[in-house]
Parts: sequence; structure tokens; C-alpha cells
Amino acid sequence: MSAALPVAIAAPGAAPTRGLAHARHIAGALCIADLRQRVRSGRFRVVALAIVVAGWWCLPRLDAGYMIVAIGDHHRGFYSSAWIGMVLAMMSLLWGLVGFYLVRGTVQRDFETRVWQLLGTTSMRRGAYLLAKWASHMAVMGGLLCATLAVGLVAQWVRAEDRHVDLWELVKPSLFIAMPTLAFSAMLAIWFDVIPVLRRTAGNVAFFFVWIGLLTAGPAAIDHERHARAAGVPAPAEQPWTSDLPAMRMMQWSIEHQIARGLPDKTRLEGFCIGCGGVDAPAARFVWTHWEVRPAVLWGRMLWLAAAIVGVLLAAPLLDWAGARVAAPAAAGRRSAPRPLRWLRALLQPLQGSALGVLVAAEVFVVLRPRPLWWWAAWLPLWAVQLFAPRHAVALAMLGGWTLLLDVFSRSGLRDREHGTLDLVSTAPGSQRRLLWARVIAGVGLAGFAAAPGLLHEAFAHPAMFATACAMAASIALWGLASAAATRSSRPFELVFIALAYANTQGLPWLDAAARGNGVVLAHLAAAGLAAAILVLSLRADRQGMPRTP
Amino acid sequence: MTKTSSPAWLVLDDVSFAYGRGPAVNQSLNLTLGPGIVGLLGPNGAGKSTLMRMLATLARPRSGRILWRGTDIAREPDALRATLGYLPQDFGVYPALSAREFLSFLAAVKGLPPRATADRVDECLALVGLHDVADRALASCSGGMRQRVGIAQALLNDPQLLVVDEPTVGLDPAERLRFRHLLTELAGERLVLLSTHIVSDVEASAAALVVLQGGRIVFDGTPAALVAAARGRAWDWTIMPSHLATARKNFVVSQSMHLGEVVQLRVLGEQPPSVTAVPAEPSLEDAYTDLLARAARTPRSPAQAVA
Repeated sequence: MSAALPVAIAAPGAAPTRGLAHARHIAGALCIADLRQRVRSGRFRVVALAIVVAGWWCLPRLDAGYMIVAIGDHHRGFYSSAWIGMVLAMMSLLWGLVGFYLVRGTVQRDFETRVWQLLGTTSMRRGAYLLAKWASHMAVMGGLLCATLAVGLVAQWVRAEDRHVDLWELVKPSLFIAMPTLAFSAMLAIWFDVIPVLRRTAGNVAFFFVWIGLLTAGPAAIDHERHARAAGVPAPAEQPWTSDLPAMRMMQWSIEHQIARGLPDKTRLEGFCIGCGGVDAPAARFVWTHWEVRPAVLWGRMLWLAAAIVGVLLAAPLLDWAGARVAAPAAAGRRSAPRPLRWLRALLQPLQGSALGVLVAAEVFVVLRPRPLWWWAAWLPLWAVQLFAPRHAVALAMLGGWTLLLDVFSRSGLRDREHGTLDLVSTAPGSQRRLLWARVIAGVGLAGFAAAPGLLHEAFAHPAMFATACAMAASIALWGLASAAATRSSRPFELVFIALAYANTQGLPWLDAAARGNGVVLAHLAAAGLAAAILVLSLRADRQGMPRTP
Repeated sequence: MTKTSSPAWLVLDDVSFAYGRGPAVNQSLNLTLGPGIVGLLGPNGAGKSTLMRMLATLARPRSGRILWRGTDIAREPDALRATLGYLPQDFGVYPALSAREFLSFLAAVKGLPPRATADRVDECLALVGLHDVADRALASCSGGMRQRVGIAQALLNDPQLLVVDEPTVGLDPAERLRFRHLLTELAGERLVLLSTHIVSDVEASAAALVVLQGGRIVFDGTPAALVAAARGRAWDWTIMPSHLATARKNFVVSQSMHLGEVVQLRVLGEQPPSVTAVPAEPSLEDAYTDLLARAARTPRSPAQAVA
């Protein structure tokens, strides 16, 4: 028996599009949907506003007392279109970093919301899907870059050092320096979503170091060339067409050959700084109305753009594999049962006598039970160093411990949203206050636990270090919660934490428990107080009553 | 508007809700409810879940008041929360915890005294039939087991108002039956609001019925009253399969069944669809379908017209 289905499955005469047109159609639709989803979020508007403000802040007045971008011994160009364009393009080093944290997560979101199950069963090509995501990333970052260029235009007029507007010179550095850098960052955002282990906090930490690695390639090449020249190797006659990702070598060449060639003392213009900090006034200003660069060099920059696109397409074969490995917190445990950790249950048994204790114990179980074996093994060397090594190594090992617990600090305040338990806990009286207390106690307790051997070691040997480490533990735990409450994202705290941890290795002691003087401990006490105030305010906002929208 | 002569525990006074500046999801809802099981029926998008979220203190009405025993829950949500059990349509769990640990955690969140918690958790686990697997990690539990954990958590504080949104989704027939029995046992001195689109769930357990369509209440009464309203409007009609599409287009068809060479239809309407159609006794599902069809024809003031 056969029967005609009464439902039309395709409009008669409407042949489905095929090939490149089909892929372009799908990619366009995906890109637009993705872009709408992002641009309509409040978080995007806040970040956009912050970047616009930062763009203005990069172009300070002559007497502002600080400089963001300077050449050599604090020289800068007059604020012409070309120089402003160059400054904003140089800042792409920062936009590429921040932009990654802003745009990443859309592929992951499709996996976690099971949208991928809908998309993956269509005739859509995986490469087209990823290119659409990458294009959407680029549209977001490019849009923000355009906003900073508009700010630059306003700054050129307001600062009034050179009011002759040359749009091409304004845009050219962003097009050839910033865009390839951002394209690479957008490509990495795709890869960090595709590889399961990089999707969450571990990826946010890893990207920071990947970016730092990419940035250091430029200065390393500059140093290498300098040493070669000092050793008598002649400089190339014309600018090489190859460049490092952030184009530092290219900028250095332009500076040396375009500005310094007329100066008797070229060493005063060697190198440049980004984020130079407090300076009374620029040492000197120079005229920079045109960026001289060979077309071959510009085409060389386009190679980075092509590399980014190829990088995106290389991830396509992994997409189905990645989509099957959903790392949503609510689903993560389904693949393998978490460890029961009976020793921990015995350890926390005394807490079961009070309601707050039950909550604290549950918090600790939730964060520690899913940990893999390597994570537990990593504590052995960290604690051994804290017990037996000199104080600076102890401080470093404490920082290592806090880094291992970074996702606990950054995500505890988001747990109910991420696990879908928000409705269950929100309908209980006073639940927000109880949960906040439990999370503060669990967070500070775990931060203290991570540094426990070091704290024991230093309590009598170096009481000042003991006090600093205690203040840091409290401040880190509280800021993780406060940042989550304020931004509803783990990324800002993770980025700031890892940047401060890196700064520690560069001599900035904000996360160095062994730092001398009272500055660091006082700063952390103040920070902890501020974070506590933010948490109290967030609690008050909850107490005002029910939200208007579910 | 008023359901029974039982005391008024929950009063909705001209309640409306909208998301942001969007169109109203719920409009001018008026209800007075006392103890017992109240079924809340309505098609997808009727505003059932939004109403449930307002009653669960998760959303604030744009206008109007919701009073729980005389207290406005938008002003003092804790007055209701202390005695509220809520099972949302979608919810998550902490996969690293066992069912017992998760319920103990939620008992602490609800502020239950620690001494009574262990016994209460055991009672609730037994009520939903999870006692044997109470110490298994939720990560390794099936969807149905998680749904039962959700039901158990709603009962932890022995609530006076139990709000359950699509509770039988994901349950197998035996579990669904068990849940219906559980609801009937629980209904004594509490108000149970059961939101569903499965009419048989309501038919089996609800003493009162509220039907929503397009964000408005189109019926508020007993299931028997709804069936009575459809009496004389249900017809059994046997046709050839080739006429099925035309029949569906021209009449409100609540059921159709192939019987060999012919198809038997249950058609709803004031007049028989054909001289060959015979009067039939309407089921609750027929009455519900008829109500929605009539309400769709009179969208502005349907409640008064059909209740």
C-alpha cells in the first residue's frame, strides 16, 4: 500500500542551491544570525563602549602626563590621520587579545545548546559553517576597530595638532597591520572552541600565553637583526616582505627608515613602547603624514589573513568529533561518573551539622569531584615546593595552586546558571544570601588550602609573607565571585588573573606573596573589601524582589 | 472566576506580564484558588510557563497582584517561598553529587533545619522511588531519574503551594502513573498547580481546571463542567480516507482512526457535519479541543463566552 504524503516538502520549481552559491548562502545566514545574537547582548555594548573609551585614552593630550604608544625615548608623531591610524593599529596587539575573549564561545554555544545537532544534519559544509563563524568574529572585531577609527578622527579634530584629514592614511595601518592580527585571533577563537580541553578556563589561560608567544616573535626578530647588524651583516636594501603577526618588525623598519633617517642620533628612536605609562610630556614630536610601505610588504601582510582562513578550514574535519564532545557543565558528567572522594566526604563530615556547612561541603564536592588524576598529581610538586623551597619559590608555588583552582574562583558565582539549577535555588527564601556565604567560605577555604603548606611554612619564618598570602587568597576568591556577579562571565576575571600572574614574572608583584613592603598586602585588602562590597550590592539587587523577566 | 467555596489561598488580581517592551504574554488574569489540584492546560505559547514562573516568584507581573494568603508576593516573595515547592519545566542538577547529596544541598538552600534534613530527604526519595539509587552520582542517572529528583526537591519543605510545570515529561508510563498517584496523595491540604499539555494527566488527577489561550484564561471550572459544555457538540462520523483532508479543513476534528477501508472521526461543532454523523459523548480532550476552537473564534472575550 502506498499513499501520497499530504505535506509538501519542497516548493515546486524551487531547486535547492548547490555548490559555492549554496555554501555562501548558508555561511551568510549563519554569520548574520550569529552577529545578531552577539550585538544584541548587553555585554557586547559594554565592551564596545570600553574599547571606544580606550581608543580615546590612547591619544592623550600633550600635557596628559602619560603616553600609550611612543617611539624610542618617548617620541611621538603629531596627531595626523596617518599617525593616529598607526597608533590605533599598534593597539591591535591588545584588541587581538581582548577580542579573543569577547568573540570566543559561539561554536561551543552551538554544541552546548544542541543547535549543532540541527545544523550538523543539514547539507551544510563544515568549512562553510566555520568560515561563517570566523566572519562573524571578524565583523565584531572589525566593527570595534571601525569605532576606534571614528574616535581617532574625533581625536584628530579635538587635539588639533594636524587637522588635515586623510582617510586612507587613517585606515591603511588598521587594514594591513590590525586586520591580519585580528583575523588570526578570530581563527584561534574557532580552534579553542573546537578542541574540548580548550573550551573553558584552561583555554582562556592557554590563549593568553599563546598570544604572548606570538607577540614575542616580533621583538625577538628585531633583536636578532640588531645583533646581526652589530656583527657587521649589512641591512637589507629594502623592507622585507615577510613580517611577524603583530607587524612589529615592519613598524620598526618604517620608524628607522622613515623618521630616523634624518636624525643624527638614531639610537633615540630605537624601539617603541605600547602602554608606556607616566611621562611628563613627549620628548619630541615628529611629522608623520604618510606611511611609506612597499606594496609587496602589504601583500606579505595579506599572507597572515590567508593563513588565518586556511587555519579555520583545517578545523573543519574535526567539527563532528568536537560536536560529539559536549563540555556543558550539566552534561559533562554524563560521560564518566565523577570520583566519589570518600576521604573528602570524611574530612567534611563535621560540616554536615549545620545548613551552611552542608552548602559549603556541597560546593567543595561539586568543584573537586570531577577533577582528573593529573590535577590531583599536580599538587604534589606544588606543595613540596611550598614546604621546602625558598620564599620566592614558595610564592610562585602558591600562585601555581591558585591557577589550578582558577575555574573554581571564576565560575562558582555562575554555577547555577551554567548547571541550570537557578530556578531550583531561586525559589527558596534567603537562598542567595546562604549560597553566597557558602561560596565565599568554600572559595576562601580552597584558596587557603591551595597555599596551606606555604602558609604553615611562612607563618613563623616570614609573618609578613603569611599576611600577604592570606590577603591574596581572600582577595582572589572574592574577586572571582564579584566579577561573576558583575559580568555574568568567567572570562574577565580569568583574563585579569592570568595577566597579573604573567606580570608577576615580569617584576610586577601584584600576585607575589613574597613581595616586600606593605603595598601589595594593602592593595589586596582593599581589593577584597571592594569585591565584598560588590557582592553585597549584588545581593541587595536580588533582595529587591523578583526579576521582571524570567 | 472563583473556583470553589474553599478558602482563597492564591488570588490573581488582573495580572498581566510581558517580556520587556514586547507584547503581553499574559493578560488580565483573574483567579481565586484554594486547596486541591488545579490543572493548567493550554496550547504551546499560551503563557502557561510564564504564569507558573510568576507564581513561583521568578517573574514579577507587569501589572496586577498575586496574593498568597493575602500577601502580595511581588512585594514579599519570601512569604510564599517559605512554603513553595517548584518543579520547573527545564532544570539541571550537579552531576558530581548523588541524589541524596543534591537533595540535602537543596534542603539547606531552602533553610530546612539540618537535624530534620536527612529524614526528610529519605522520605522524598522514597516518595519518588529513588531510595535504591540515592547514592549514585547524578551524572550516571537517566533523564527520568533526574526528573524524579526534581519532583523530590519540590516536596522537600512540605510545601503548601506546589507548582509543577510539565512534570511527566521524560517519565515512562509506569512512572507517570506513579506520579499521578503521588499528586493525589499530596493534594489534601495543599494547593497543587499542575501545568501540562497532556489532557489525560489533568483528567486523572485535577479537581479543577484552568485553560489558557493567547495569554488569557478561556476556562476556569471543573473538568466535568468543561465536558458538559461540549455535550451535544461531539459527533462520530465515518468517511472514506480520500475525504479526510477536506473534513479536517472544514471541521474541528479531535480524533481520527482508520478502521479498515474507512476512517472514523470525532467532529466537534454545533451542527453535525453530515446526516450520517451520530451524536457522541465527549471526552475531556474533545471538550478541551472544542473550547480552544471556540475561543479562537472569539479571541477578545472568550472566558465569559465559554466558561
